[in-house]
Amino acid sequence: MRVIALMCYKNIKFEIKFIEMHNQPEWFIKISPLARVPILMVGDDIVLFESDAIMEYIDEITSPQIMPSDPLQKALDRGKFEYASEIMKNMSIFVFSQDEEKFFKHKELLKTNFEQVEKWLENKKYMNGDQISLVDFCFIPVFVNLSIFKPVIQNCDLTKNLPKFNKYGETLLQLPCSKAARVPDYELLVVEGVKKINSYLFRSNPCFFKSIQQSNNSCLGK
Amino acid sequence: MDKRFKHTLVAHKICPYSMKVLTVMRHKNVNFEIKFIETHNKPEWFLRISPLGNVPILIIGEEIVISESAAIMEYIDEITPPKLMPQDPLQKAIDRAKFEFSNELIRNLYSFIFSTEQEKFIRQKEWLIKHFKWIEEWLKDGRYINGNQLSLVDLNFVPLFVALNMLKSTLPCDLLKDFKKLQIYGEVIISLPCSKTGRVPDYEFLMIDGIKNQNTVLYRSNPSYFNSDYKPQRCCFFRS
Repeated sequence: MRVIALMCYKNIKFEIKFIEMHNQPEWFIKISPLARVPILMVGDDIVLFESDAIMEYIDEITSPQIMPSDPLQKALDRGKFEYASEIMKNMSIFVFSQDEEKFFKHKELLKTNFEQVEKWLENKKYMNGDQISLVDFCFIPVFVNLSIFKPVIQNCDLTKNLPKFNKYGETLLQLPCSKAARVPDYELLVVEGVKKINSYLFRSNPCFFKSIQQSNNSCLGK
Repeated sequence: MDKRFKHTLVAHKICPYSMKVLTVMRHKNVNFEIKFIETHNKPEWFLRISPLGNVPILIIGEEIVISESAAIMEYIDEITPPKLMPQDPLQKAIDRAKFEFSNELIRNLYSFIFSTEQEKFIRQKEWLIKHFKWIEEWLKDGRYINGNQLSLVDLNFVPLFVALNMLKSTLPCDLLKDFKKLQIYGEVIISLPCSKTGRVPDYEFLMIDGIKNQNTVLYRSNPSYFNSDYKPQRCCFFRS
């Protein structure tokens, strides 16, 4: 999602191919060294993998660059790319874990993660000031997923007393590239996944998930 | 020296990611201090400054902390020209992806080494062999991954070959048996001076200790080797 958001922001022309992670096609396994998405095929022969590497490449070939040029600032930002990835990992377990203990453990981890982001933001609009930089794109998926589970998150007090974090989320979600970065049925797919796995989150919030399903059904009916 | 520019590396003695950074710093002759910590008992001061509680971190001056081995390596490279990282954006992207590939490889290698279950041990071994094929393919005809000059991506593979070299005498089979280019590349990598100075003198000792104490499959399949009077090779870490 971070890569697509960036490519939309930078107005890059590209084709997109979606694959099933649980049933990876042969052609994909042959070219993706770690069997992960995303990969970016450049021309017919070159395959780039790892989202951060792809993002920095896209940024470098399209001016103006939004990665800082100072080596120290770059290093600090790259550390945050990884931090955002860690948040996504924790969120994934929080959402999909069937185990109550794991759920609560990762809820606590997420709270710590969000507090750290709050600290980094200080009073800035974006991570590095008034202008968006590459590091902000790494946080888009975090807020997209938080917005899907908004009422549940609010009940958990996960984002309580984090005004800068919440404002940052609003800023990021309002970006056009942030909306363009997900497929129309993104929310539906995530919710379906949660239901199928019968995760702890699902089991402890049945009304919420029922209401999402109902609103999705009515949308599809249109 | 101006305290603002003091570099302090916080590392763990057998951590492969710490080794990567140490290797680059030795190669580039950076002046720095090093602090070792125990990963099972991380000190309070460390947890306060390391966002993810991981090593290595590089403290610059008194307050600035960079985390993530890849970020630290690129930073060191950029402040000590000539750079080992290529200029071309596409080549940089290809190399950066390989940094992560090497991380994944070393993660699985350590998992293999410290595995306590036979099934996991075999699975990890198969995973490793499957993924060695990629590096074998990347190594075309040059001495290094990007040709005849050393680049930053090569230093990412130092911990892999240091560990494999250490394992040579303990494994019933050679993991690199079918990979001729990888064997040659491995020899080149571990002969680099920074490869020797990039690890602590007691690295092998600590690894073997860990293998024994955790009652790993590796230990159980070769106890006499691990119980013998093992003297680790001395490296010149403290000389310069």
